[in-house]
Amino acid sequence: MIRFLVIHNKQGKIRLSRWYTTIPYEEKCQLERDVHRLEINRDPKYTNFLEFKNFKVVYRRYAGLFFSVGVDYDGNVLSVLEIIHLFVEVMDQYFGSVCELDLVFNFHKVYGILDEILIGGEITETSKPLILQSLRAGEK
Amino acid sequence: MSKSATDVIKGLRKGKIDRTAFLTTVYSEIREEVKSPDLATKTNAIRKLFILALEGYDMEWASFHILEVMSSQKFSQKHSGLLAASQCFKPNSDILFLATNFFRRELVANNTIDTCIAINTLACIVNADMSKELLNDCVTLLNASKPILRKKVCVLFYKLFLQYPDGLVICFERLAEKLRDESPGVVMGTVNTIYELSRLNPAFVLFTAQALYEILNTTTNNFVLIKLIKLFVELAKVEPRLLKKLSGPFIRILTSNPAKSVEFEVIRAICAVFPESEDMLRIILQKLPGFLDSHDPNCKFYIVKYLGLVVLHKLIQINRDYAEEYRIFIMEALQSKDVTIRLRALELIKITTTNKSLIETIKNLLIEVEKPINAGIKEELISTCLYLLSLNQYELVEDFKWMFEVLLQIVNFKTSIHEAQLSSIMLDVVLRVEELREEACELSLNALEIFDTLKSEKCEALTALLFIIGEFSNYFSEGNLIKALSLVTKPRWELLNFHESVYNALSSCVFKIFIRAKEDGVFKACVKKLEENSVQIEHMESQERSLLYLNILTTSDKEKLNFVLKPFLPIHPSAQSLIFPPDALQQNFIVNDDELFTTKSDGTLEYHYYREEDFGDIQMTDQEKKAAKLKIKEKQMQDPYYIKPKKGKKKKGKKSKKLEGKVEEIKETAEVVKEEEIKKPEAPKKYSVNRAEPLIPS
Repeated sequence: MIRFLVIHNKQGKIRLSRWYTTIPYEEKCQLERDVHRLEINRDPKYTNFLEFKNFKVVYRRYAGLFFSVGVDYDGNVLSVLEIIHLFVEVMDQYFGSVCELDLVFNFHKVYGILDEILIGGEITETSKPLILQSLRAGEK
Repeated sequence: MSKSATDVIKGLRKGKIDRTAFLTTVYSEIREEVKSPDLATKTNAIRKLFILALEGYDMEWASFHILEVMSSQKFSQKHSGLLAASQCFKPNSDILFLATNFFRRELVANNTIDTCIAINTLACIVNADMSKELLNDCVTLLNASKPILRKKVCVLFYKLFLQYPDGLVICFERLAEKLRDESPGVVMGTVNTIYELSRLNPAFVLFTAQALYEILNTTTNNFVLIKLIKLFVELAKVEPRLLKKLSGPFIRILTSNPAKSVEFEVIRAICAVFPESEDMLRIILQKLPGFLDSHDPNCKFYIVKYLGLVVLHKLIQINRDYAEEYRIFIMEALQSKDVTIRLRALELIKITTTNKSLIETIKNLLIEVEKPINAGIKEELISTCLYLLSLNQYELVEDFKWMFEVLLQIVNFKTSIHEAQLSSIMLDVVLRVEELREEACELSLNALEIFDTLKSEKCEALTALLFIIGEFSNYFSEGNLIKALSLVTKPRWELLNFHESVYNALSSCVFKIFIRAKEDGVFKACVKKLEENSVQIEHMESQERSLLYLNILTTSDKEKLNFVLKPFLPIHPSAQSLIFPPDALQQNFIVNDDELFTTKSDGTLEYHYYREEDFGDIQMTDQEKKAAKLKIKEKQMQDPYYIKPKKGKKKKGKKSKKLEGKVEEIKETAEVVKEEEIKKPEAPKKYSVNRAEPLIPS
């Protein structure tokens, strides 16, 4: 089960933060800061996984943004990487060559896209055409 | 003109304005706007509030307004409201009672899109009461005509079940039917939910195994495949007969599926459920180099190496023979630049070290500890060292003198969390291994020469060293004994303000050295030291002990103190059973004459005393209770030591007027205080970054 998905830029500013578990607000902020601090110091050649006590964080960097996903300890990390890539590709097709500014100004649409892919921390749809179809239907 | 959400964002991004001032103005504007009856203005206000919430402002006070916006008919307004709700409605907030009806309407509405976004938000905020109310509507949705609705509802069920477990029993069969749904998305959603449930209670979902097996053989979606493999591992724990049927599909998937993620998952599953199967392990071993040395351009080198190390870990747990081949590889992994891989390598070292390789392994680990890049994992490295040394009661150690030297080396690293374990290992090993004692004393003496550098929070290592020197000082030659004595009588001990236990150990050490020694000079030095200790040290307990030892030394006969020379030896755990208890400690030993109850001839119990706290659940008639209470009172009156309660009326506590005034003051200023507390500090300085750079380069 996916515990959270956080998008942050190199300065640590959170562009999107979706939590699928209930933990206190201060802990969330602390965790977001810790994850950011650990990720910016890592060489891009290294593995994309950070191990914490009872969960793992899988992250991937696209241009100036880090997409960090917290997953249970026995979750399959490679499939989570795929989910992150799927998310970015859907956004790319939806916004047309997506960049950070699109996430800043259209944050509500980004949450909408995320909700099509993940509900309650579980993967619901992996087919890009179907996701885009339901998004366009919502627009009308 | 009220700002739109985009204006707020643009305003925040302008470099020269004062962020907090801008945000405060926007916040006060929002508070006004949100009360307006016009839904469009309200929605605008809620959108702006959402942006502020990302900056740290509180959004919960607007819950009711958010609910109103959610109930709008326009999609964009509804969407904004639902988004705000998913961020700010907490599971125990009152607004959820009102929201339940709203969600019920949405779930049964004809509009697919509205229902979809409602389900999206519901998954984030549902609590136990809502779950109970909405369960039936969700079950109806399972048969909706649109697959997207069915799919979303299947995934939602997991959250509902988490909050309201009783619903599970009622609805689960209906959910399980969806495994045979024609739409693959619905099947995936159902599989996800069933997997999460199987982690909690595999026996419950077992009856779906047949349908799941069919999907395992037919699906082409890798995500579903991975979930199914994990599911079957959970199910196999409760139903071993599944294993026979699983071996075929697992081998097929392992050999045919090209995706590394699926391969990894199957290998992990095989290691968990088929640890004895020869052919499967053979295939895994063939695949292993593919992970450890992969040059696949799609998968980064380090990622697959990490996965390879995980697989290796599982393999070695199954069969230790593989450890030999990969030993050098593991050592190299320890030197890897990536910290995650180093941690994995450490785990592997814990399970692959043998007594022949122990010395080299520890040497390598200690070299690693000193390297600056390992500063973050220093503690893990030392924990691994201690783990290996003390594994199975020191099974791996052949040369204890070397081990003691290593322990002293680790003491110098000064990691406080390991000190307790370290000192207990040192003492344990010196007590048990007779041959070690002489060398241990000498080594401890050398280590103690720099005792001022060994100061730490609880000084356990120092205490251990002092104990060793004192207890086994009969192994010292005369020269060494004098040296030891001069060391422990240095005035620096008092100046450095160690922990109390160090001074206690110091006094005992001096005492024992005196008993061993034969010269007069030694005697005088010991007495002098103890006298000093009893006065100069701050801790009362240490002073007491020093005085006690001093008195024993000066007043008693030296021959009589020879019992102290008896060695302190470990005792076998079964030794206690060989000692018979003394007569006084027999079975009918009565602590208290007054019996609380006696057993009558027919086996029932007759109670003599009755107090609510003691026998709350015992059936007694009122008369019996009264009689018992009287008995207690009589006894208390006769007892000279019983303090009788004071007679007199109890005054009811009057609320202090001053306190009431203060409470009013606090209430008035509560909101302002809350606002100021919630605001985050200033944003960091700006960098020049191209935010218009596309995420996926074309």
